[in-house]
Amino acid sequence: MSEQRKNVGRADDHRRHGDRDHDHDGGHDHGGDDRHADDAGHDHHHHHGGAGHVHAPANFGKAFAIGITLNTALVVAEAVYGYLGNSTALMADAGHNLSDVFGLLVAWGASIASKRAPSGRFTYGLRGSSILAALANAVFLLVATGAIGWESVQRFRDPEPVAGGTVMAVAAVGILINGATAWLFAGGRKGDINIRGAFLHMAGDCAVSAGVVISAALIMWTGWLLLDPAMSLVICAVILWSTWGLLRSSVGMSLSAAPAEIDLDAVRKLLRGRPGVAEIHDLHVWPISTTETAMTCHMVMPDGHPGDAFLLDCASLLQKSHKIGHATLQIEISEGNACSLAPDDVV
Amino acid sequence: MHGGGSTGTAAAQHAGRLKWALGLTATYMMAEVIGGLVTGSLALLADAAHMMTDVGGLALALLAINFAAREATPQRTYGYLRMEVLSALTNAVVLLLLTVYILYEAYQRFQSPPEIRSGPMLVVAAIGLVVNLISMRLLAGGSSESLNVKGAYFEVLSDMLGSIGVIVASLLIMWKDWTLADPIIGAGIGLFIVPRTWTMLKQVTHILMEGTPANIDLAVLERKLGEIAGVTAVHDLHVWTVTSGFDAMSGHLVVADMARGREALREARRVLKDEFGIDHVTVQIEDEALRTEEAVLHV
Repeated sequence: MSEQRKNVGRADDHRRHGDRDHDHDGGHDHGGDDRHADDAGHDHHHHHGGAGHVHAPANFGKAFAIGITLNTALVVAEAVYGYLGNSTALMADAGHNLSDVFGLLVAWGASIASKRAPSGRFTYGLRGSSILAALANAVFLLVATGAIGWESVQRFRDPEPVAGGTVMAVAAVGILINGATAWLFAGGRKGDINIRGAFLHMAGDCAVSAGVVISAALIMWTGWLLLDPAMSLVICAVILWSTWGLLRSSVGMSLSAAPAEIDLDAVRKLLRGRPGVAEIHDLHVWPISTTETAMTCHMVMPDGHPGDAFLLDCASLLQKSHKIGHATLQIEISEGNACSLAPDDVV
Repeated sequence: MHGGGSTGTAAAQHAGRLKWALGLTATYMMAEVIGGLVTGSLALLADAAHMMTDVGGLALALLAINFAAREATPQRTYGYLRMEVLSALTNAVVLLLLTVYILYEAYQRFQSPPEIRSGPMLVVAAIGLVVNLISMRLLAGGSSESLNVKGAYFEVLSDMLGSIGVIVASLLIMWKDWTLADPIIGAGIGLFIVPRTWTMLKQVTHILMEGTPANIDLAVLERKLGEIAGVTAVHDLHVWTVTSGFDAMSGHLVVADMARGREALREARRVLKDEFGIDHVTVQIEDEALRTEEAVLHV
């Protein structure tokens, strides 16, 4: 029930509402049937069924389960063979993969928690956990990368022989496992930064393993031991590069910044352009999860409250053109009402 | 109460104190790092690491205050108010990581205790105690109002106890020649902050998850709004904290007669401000028809 409540989803649930359409009648017992008639002109009052949202988090539960199992096995294998083979690159890779297991667990936990019903304490449910998970994933990656980098720098001063054959074999397995797991998440990396975090983690790992194989091969070829830490540093740089974007978007979301793909000027223009609107202020658009957006706005309408049709219309437009699913509009009748939030310098 | 202007958040008023505390702590941290290396004491190094998070925490707190005063941008409609919350989160995470490091280091030193020069160790720790007492007095005033200043205060408090710990350890080494006192007390200093850090982490997470502020009972708020003349139903109620000292609210009120919506809005704003201290509200007035539409749509 609660899962179905989370999105407006008017624009796109024509194709989804199906069988869930009639089991959510919490709002249908108000005796407001006569009012329904007023809405006859709008075609959207009967199909607010399912979790219809273009960005609705797809179910990645299986991907998480597989990814976590494979990676845990890999961590153990790499740690053991890295120790036996005396390769920092491999040990470091094990450490990095361990941080991935944590990362995957966090992302999985968040994607489950996001589906929890809202409560009195958390009125938006636990959707926000997906943002925190993405943030945590970015930080995990940066810390793990820092640790690898530090190890590598120390290895430069004191290079040690590496058992090339073992290292290569284990790292090759790493390429397969990380690549496969990354591929599991590839489908969701665009819409949801929580999934993108998981994807980046795995893709990054794939690169690390590939680097280890190459450096091990080159060491066998040339005998130049410094290649092992050098390769580690290169990989660190690559991971830092890819993590930066994830960190930026998750920090932005934590700061309640509007999602980058929503053009606030366009939203402002849309609302100001509605019939009867003299002025708007106190517009806030912020993410309530990595996939859902909420909005509040105050609209000054000197001719009086235009009624529900207007509100519905705005909500539907916002959903359709900006994917803002949770809008609250405060209609203020006169400017003499002088809303304390009206001045530009007030948040 | 309301953020945004130059008076800003609760923390802003404490910027001056934070700056003094930062200067003192940073200076002393350097002394302690040098002291730790010279004397070989882990307890002192652990204390220095602690100091480092104080320095980091205080610097972050100041940074957040500066950010919070910055104006909202088109894309960041709440400005950088949340920066304070994020800096508190960073602070908590760094502290926890540091604890892990200290425990690891203590374990290693427990295996093979290094030589320690307890005399200089005692001197450095004693100076540290004085510095901490001053910092604590500087911050005590603001600790109940702002999450950030509270975080900084707790760190300085735990450091003061840390300094006492180091003094005890150096005395034990001096008189009883018991060198294991150093890693034991070092580990103790590391563990000491965990419960407090955990509490801070929980509060920060609550804010970032847009949880209802602890001092607001949503059921009572809903009832009060429902009691407003002409209001037949309340739904979609959200109260959340943007940054410490700044709560926001959005909600939908169903009125029987749209013509009286204006009074309902005015009254709702009065109730929220006077009885719950919430300034930043957005109330959508609607009638029955929209209620049936919306009940199933929203979070």
